[in-house]
Amino acid sequence: VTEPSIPLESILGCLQGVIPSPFATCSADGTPNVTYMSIVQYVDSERVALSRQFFRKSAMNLEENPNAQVLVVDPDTTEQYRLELHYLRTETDGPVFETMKGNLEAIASQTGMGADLFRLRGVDIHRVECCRRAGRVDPGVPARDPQRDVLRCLDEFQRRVATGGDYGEATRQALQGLEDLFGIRHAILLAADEDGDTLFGVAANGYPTSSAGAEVAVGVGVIGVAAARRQVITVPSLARSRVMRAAVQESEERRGGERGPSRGIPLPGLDDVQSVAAVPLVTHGALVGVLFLESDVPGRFGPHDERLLRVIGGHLAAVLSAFERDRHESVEEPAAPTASSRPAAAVAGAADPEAAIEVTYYQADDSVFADGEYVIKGVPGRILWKLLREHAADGRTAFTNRELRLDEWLGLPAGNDNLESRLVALRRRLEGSDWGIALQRVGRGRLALEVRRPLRLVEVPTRGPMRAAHADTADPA
Amino acid sequence: VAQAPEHPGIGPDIAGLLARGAAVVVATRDERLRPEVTRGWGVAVAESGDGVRLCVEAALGSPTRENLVAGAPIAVSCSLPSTYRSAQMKGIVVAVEEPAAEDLERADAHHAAFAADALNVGIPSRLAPRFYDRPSLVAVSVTVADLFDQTPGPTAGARL
Repeated sequence: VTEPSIPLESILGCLQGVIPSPFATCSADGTPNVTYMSIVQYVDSERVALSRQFFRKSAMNLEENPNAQVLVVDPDTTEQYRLELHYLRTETDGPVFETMKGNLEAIASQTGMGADLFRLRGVDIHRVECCRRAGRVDPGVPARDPQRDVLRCLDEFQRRVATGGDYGEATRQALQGLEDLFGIRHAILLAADEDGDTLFGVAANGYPTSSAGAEVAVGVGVIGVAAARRQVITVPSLARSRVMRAAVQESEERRGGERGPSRGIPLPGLDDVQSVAAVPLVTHGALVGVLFLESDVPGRFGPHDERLLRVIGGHLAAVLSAFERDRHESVEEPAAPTASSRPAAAVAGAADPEAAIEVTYYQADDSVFADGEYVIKGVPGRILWKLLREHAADGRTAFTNRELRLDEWLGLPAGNDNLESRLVALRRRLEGSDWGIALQRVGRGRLALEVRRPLRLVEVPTRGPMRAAHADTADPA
Repeated sequence: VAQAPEHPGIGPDIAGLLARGAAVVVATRDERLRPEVTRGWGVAVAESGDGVRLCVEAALGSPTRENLVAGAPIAVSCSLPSTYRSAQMKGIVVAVEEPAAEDLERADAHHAAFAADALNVGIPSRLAPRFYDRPSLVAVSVTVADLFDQTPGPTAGARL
């Protein structure tokens, strides 16, 4: 009696590329060939896709003889399965190719390799004639985790995110929900800037340091490639990717384009990260941000998660985008300085310079430093400088989103200004410091600035291209 | 077109890979040219450098066991999990036997080295034994006709 073929859907854990898959072909003259495949990916219940990168002999054999076989391994249990394959065709475009290409580009970028070395020449589509257990069969093997009730978890995730009354609370609920409902304990949410060429950290869960204000360029690394391609990227095994990088480098006999350390605020990360995913947040075709997930478990994120992550990302994008839009439509009266908003501390030229904190603003890139320590730059830097300057002038502590939007010096774009995400990033950046400056959301569209130490404000003019933008501004220092 | 050398000579590079716990996979094929892949352990290089003897996972009744007959073509690839340094030997099966005690000792030692190296890429020690189907091993002697570099990158596929 022939053992029945095992459905591919029951071995999706094997089809993530965590453990390399031995792949055998045979030439027309009967000479077998065996090599390792990086990626064996599920296409549907009858087909798999194999990456075509380096191995010319396998490709030649498949042209002559479509019979092939691959041994795939479950990374959780190391159970092995033998797939008997029949080569159908090689695709060099289309969704299967683009998905695999995006993943390889992200790995190449993340590991500092030139994309040409990881270049995907095509994906070979094979029909699976049969799938059977292989190797040692051990009844004591730990079973894979039972499938979670994904729909129930998604329903609960949406409910929680919807309870967040503002942008900041929605991001907090989302990241906590990922941990509680899906076991994703390390997550960073980044928002896209107005130009769509940079992402900045807004919220994080599971890290000792804040991600607020950290910047990632679109197109660079797993996060940046996910944003650029609007594609969920999963890297099941970073250890494998690092090993692959080293092997290719050695073969290439030249050094790869390693990136230098980034300036500004570093993105937090797990020391022993093994698997990552980057989920673009897209609504109405526009990039809202990226959700970045990390795990210390190899194979935690893989192609089997991509549908779920797309749904989560789509929902989060819609919610966050609605919060941004909602603030555009809201009507708030700019709050005049109130009698109660007395200066929380002395202002510029404080009498007690020993206790004062020196806040420096550089016009050149809108960066703000507190006692020489980098705080933030760009739009949030400009916002912070405006608030501190006005506080220094007349002791104001109450501000509104509306006046920030109308302030020509800030220069927020009329359409998508990302003000909510900017303020959340700024607020969290200030929270994680001991500069004695805090920004609180005190109501719909209202902000309260708290200054607990005397300030000394210094504005550094620029002679560069940004000079004109600052021509009319008074130096409060 | 480069011609295969008469005796390719299995050099210290490949011997070093094997000693450091390279994963070994073996391909054979049936008369309909359908390839069959399995794992190999405990590769010993002949003193002449033109042949190897290894244990191959080939349970009784399995396609690999059917394919392993004297004169059959065979491919043996070895790849170190922690570096991906890889090479492939192609040759002809000379003999298939029950493994002797020293064959099994070599296979056990090889598996231990493999498990240690696989730790580097996140395969925990408790799971490494599941790659090793010791009861199914047969000892296979192979005359090696060709050697190829299989390290991922531009040199993949080049004759060694």
